[in-house]
Amino acid sequence: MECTYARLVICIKPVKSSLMGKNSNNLEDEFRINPYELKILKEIIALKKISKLPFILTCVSMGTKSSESVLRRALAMGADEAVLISDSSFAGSDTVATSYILSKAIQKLENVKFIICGSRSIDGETGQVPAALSERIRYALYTEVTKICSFNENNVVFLKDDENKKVLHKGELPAVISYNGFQINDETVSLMALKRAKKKEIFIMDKDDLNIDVSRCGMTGSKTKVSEVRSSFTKISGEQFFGISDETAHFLTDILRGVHHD
Amino acid sequence: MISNNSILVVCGLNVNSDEHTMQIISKASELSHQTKKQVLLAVAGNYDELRFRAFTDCGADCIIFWEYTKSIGIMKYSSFISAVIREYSPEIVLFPATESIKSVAAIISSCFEAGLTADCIDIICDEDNKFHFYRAAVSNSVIAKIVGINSSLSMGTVKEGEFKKKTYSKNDENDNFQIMFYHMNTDEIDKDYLDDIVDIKYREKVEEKTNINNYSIVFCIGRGAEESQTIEKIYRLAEAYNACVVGTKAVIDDNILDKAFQVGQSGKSISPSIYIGLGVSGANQHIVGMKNSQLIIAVNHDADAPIMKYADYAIIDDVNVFLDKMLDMLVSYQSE
Ligand SMILES: Cc1cc2nc3c(=O)[nH]c(=O)nc-3n(C[C@H](O)[C@H](O)[C@H](O)COP(=O)(O)OP(=O)(O)OC[C@H]3O[C@@H](n4cnc5c(N)ncnc54)[C@H](O)[C@@H]3O)c2cc1C
Repeated sequence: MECTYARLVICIKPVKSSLMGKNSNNLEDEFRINPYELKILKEIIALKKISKLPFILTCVSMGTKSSESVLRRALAMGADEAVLISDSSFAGSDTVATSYILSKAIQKLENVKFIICGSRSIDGETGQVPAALSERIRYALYTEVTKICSFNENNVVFLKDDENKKVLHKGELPAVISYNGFQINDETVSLMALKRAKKKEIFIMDKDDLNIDVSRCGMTGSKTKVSEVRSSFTKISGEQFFGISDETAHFLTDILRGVHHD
Repeated sequence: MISNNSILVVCGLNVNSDEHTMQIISKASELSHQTKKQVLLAVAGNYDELRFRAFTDCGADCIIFWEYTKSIGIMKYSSFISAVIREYSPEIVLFPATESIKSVAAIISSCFEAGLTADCIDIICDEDNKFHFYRAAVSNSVIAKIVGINSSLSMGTVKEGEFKKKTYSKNDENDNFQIMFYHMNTDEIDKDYLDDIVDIKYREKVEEKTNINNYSIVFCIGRGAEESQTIEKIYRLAEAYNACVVGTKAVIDDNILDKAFQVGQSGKSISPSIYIGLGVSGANQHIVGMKNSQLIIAVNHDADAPIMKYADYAIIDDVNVFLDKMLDMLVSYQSE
């Protein structure tokens, strides 16, 4: 896709709405924006407004057609364009395959100066995609970034914030940034904005558009396989009390006082 | 002699992470006893015999050392590790999951198209001599067993404290101390990214805050117990039992407690003798931080709240009714 302005890409991982529990106010959508990307998307949109920098904010997601709603929301929040990377052969990709597919999409989008990924997703949470992607496209990599302060054609100024210090860095572009921050509550967008976003086109890229080697995608291209899953920590022996009776309160008070019942 | 199919451990980038590296070497050594594979350790930096001896004491059979006195960043270190992998063809590579080494691991995994399991909690070798990695997926409270496929190399990162450091006493001092100096050609070394530090602000040293890990009883406030009169009751009860009051992320976000008191994935992990959740729903991100409590008591008016599944004692009632009752009980004990 041609572009005269520099592009800033945010890679948004669609995550299952059910994982967001009570914080989700539109449960009818199957997927939501991963909370890490949600926060940085909001911040970049605000930065774009105040800095008046001429750049195109492109949101890229990989997923099935039903994750379109995620990109629709990103557009409503203020992203300029949205790209959905979707092909049945991409399903089940691990980080090796995902970073390969994303790198192909980034190459297809022209003039990409700067890519932001959340440092983890609340479902897969491996946090390896940003570094793996930077290696494939040979961009600089900055990790654990807690705030993006400003940027221009050549540099980005960002903050890393840890327990005892805040460090302001200036790094060269093009770069991949792994952003460490998240918000658990949804952004409210106006109905007007949502309506406008509905009219915008979401560009779909499949394996042919990306000129991709399918043997390197999906389950076939993955280098790891989950061979077994077991539930980790539910208690089976728990006891339920309906209502707090005198007897129960007595029992619990004894426990708190260190008098043990068997 | 270094054989192929060894277990390669990647040392952390600076000495601060040596303990972490040694924990991983100890695990690798345990696997090597079982599989008869060698444990190699890749280190870059300054020569330091005492440091290297400490590594071999934990079970490293051979140290592959790149002497490089200038500063080393992610890219330079990745080019060194890549070169070592190419030269010695290990079967698995283990990395400490520090901030920079996590990136190195992901970069190497792209370079070699090798499978990478993040934050392993265990590594085993089965009867067929195949390695399996275990990792906990926070989001759905499961432990996944992962195996490398379609590649002769598999890799994993390990968080600090996951394995115990063990040292093996050696009879002969000189025995088993093998070090290979690795030579890197300058054109092999990738440039690190230019990343200038513009400004550093050190946080003011806050006086030693209450450490929530020092308490054997913990009361946790959830969004269902946020009303000020409810909180007041919680503090009264907590004080009587010398308990610490902590909260869920929702409560921290509402500025009811300081961030230092947040329990969960993005807060602290606690393992008190008794945890009492009051109006806490039990989101997975919270559960991971308190699941090691010895006794879990949950109070919630919703019997289907997820926390009830983890509770030893699940009290289905309004938090205020519960607190009033417990406070009454306290008074009657005190007047005894
Ligand atoms: C990336 C990420 C990281 C996160 N990290 C953390 C973390 O570190 N720690 C953490 O705690 N959370 C974390 N969360 C948030 C987590 O998903 C939940 O949103 C949060 O734990 C919910 O807090 P809660 O249980 O207090 O509130 P809610 O989920 O709103 O639950 C309130 C509960 O109180 C009950 N209730 C209400 N009124 C009463 C009453 N009168 N009497 C009895 N019961 C009542 C309700 O039935 C409900 O079950 C994180 C989320 C994300 C996305």
